[in-house]
Amino acid sequence: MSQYDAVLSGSFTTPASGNAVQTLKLPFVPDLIEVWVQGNSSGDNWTSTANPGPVKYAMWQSGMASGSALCTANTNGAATDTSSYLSSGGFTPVTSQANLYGTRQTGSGVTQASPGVVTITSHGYTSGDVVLIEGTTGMLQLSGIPWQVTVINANTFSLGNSFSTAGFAAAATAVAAQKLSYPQAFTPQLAYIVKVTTGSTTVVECSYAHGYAVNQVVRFNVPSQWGMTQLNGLQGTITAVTTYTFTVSINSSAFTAFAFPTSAVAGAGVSPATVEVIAEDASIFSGSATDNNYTGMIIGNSATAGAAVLSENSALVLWRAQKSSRVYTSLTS
Amino acid sequence: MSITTTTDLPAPIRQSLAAGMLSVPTPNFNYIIPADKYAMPRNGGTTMRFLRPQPLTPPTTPLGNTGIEPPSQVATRNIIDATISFYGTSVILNEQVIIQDQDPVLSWLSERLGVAMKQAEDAIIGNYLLSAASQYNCQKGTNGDNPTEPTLRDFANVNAALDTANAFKFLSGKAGEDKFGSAPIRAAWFCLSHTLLSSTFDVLDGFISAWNYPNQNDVLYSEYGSVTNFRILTSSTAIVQSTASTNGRDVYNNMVVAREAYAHIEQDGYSSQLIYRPPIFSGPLALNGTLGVKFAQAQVITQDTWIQNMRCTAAL
Repeated sequence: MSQYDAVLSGSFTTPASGNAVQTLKLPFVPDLIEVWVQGNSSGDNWTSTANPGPVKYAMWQSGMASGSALCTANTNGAATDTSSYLSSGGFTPVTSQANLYGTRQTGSGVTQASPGVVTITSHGYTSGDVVLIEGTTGMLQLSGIPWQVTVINANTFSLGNSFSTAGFAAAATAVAAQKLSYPQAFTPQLAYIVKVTTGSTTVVECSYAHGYAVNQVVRFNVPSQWGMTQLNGLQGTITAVTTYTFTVSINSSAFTAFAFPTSAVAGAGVSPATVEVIAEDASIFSGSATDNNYTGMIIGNSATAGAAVLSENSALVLWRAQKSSRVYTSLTS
Repeated sequence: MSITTTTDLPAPIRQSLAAGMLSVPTPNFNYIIPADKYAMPRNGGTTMRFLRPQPLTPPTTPLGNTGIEPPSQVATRNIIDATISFYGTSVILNEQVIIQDQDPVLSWLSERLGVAMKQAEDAIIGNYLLSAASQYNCQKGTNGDNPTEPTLRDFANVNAALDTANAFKFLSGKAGEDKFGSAPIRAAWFCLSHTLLSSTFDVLDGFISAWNYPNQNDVLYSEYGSVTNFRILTSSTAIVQSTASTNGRDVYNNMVVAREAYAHIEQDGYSSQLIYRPPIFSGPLALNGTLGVKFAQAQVITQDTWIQNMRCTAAL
């Protein structure tokens, strides 16, 4: 190994429930990565009846397809393990970019209900993904807004914090969607307002997890089509936060209601209602403009044992990642 | 062996390198141009803090003759922070390349690394602005999409927004001159656009090509023209969101910016470091040298009302 090569190693434990893909943030995109899965919370993940069962060992090397892996998986009831090749659910090298969108997918529409449900056959999203919704014919007020999604099944998902579309005039008869690959690449960032509750303080709901913090100062951009024009341009200090909402020190008791424009108005052209962090309290740094982009490797997950590198909850996973300055690709005799 | 054809020529004279390297297509780096430049002091921590005073209410009411002191005001200022990040890349250079192929290889690699660094600076700022700047969707066009293609009315709307926010302009105007086909140019902010919008601008009402300015003084290399109070700079690497419009067309993010709208911050002594490690460090045979570049950078919007992301699609 020369000075130009690097090897990093470490471990992590998969979540106790709701196992998910894991992202290793590394100072390089590895040429070679290996993982060893050492069991679940009961100390033994080899009791699965699946065949092949949970992956014990997996590797990926530069030149293999993104998302693939060569694995050794447990074989139920057999003395030997099984070798398997995963074409998906394996390792995906990653270099994040703020401006990176997934493939545009089209679907059949959005229901007029609470919550509104989007139908796109085999959408492939997971809950928590942020997805730009477009082309919602008949419900164009949803278009152009990135929404955090909650997956209902393989073909449907809901938007934001169980966002209700019941008050809109009609269901959408078409929809298109693109996943934002790295929605929090820079923080703090612009957030899209989808609901405002008036009062002596004002509660603002965003279309996805805003990531804001108490004592940050925000400024609102509310075009006239969104009703609450009094809020436009105002600044306020955040006094409380939840995942989707924040409370701001603005008395909005006398403001007109915040309302999505009609589909016809949105179709004629409208800018989104947004909010941005413009300052913060002297004692905190959470609002400091920060570049969160990274390189590394995403390790796939599946609820089905053996279908991805990770499948077990509470599993201890050891990993080793290597970056080589030169990778030899040909054999010599 | 007798030499009877050119293919029999021995290796040393079978090829000669042309003098100089060929040009490398390089985009315009526009996002860095309007940025206010700051340098954090060495050993100055990880965060650059800006203070922006809030205006005081003008005392327009007569004090009267009662001798009673008027109520005082509370002076406040906004605190804006930016966190430094480090970036860098390097190339490995085998000594055989130098001995057998290209003697000046270190020179052109240095140039490439420098360009890569400047491109990274620019791309990072552009991506940050995309994430943080407030948005205006062009909506007065006729291409049937959302956003539409930019129109004179859209530029006028954004123009009015910046003017209402009392934003500083970068450039003073150009008075008309007695030259056929030229037109006076207003004092201007910048509009940072994509080269693919050139044809859209060419058919935009009110657009004045840079070559139709009264003179070419202070015209920037990447400047394509002017409309209302905007001087339009174009780059092939301006931010585009692929298929992100209502109709699935590409959305162009035109950053319209005033002076002091955002800052580019470097760490003193670390704004750009070119590092060369000769082959002797690589191993017992000294086979490989490295040439690399690293830099520290932060960026932040310092006047949030003085920048807007004017999103548009191209004209049909």
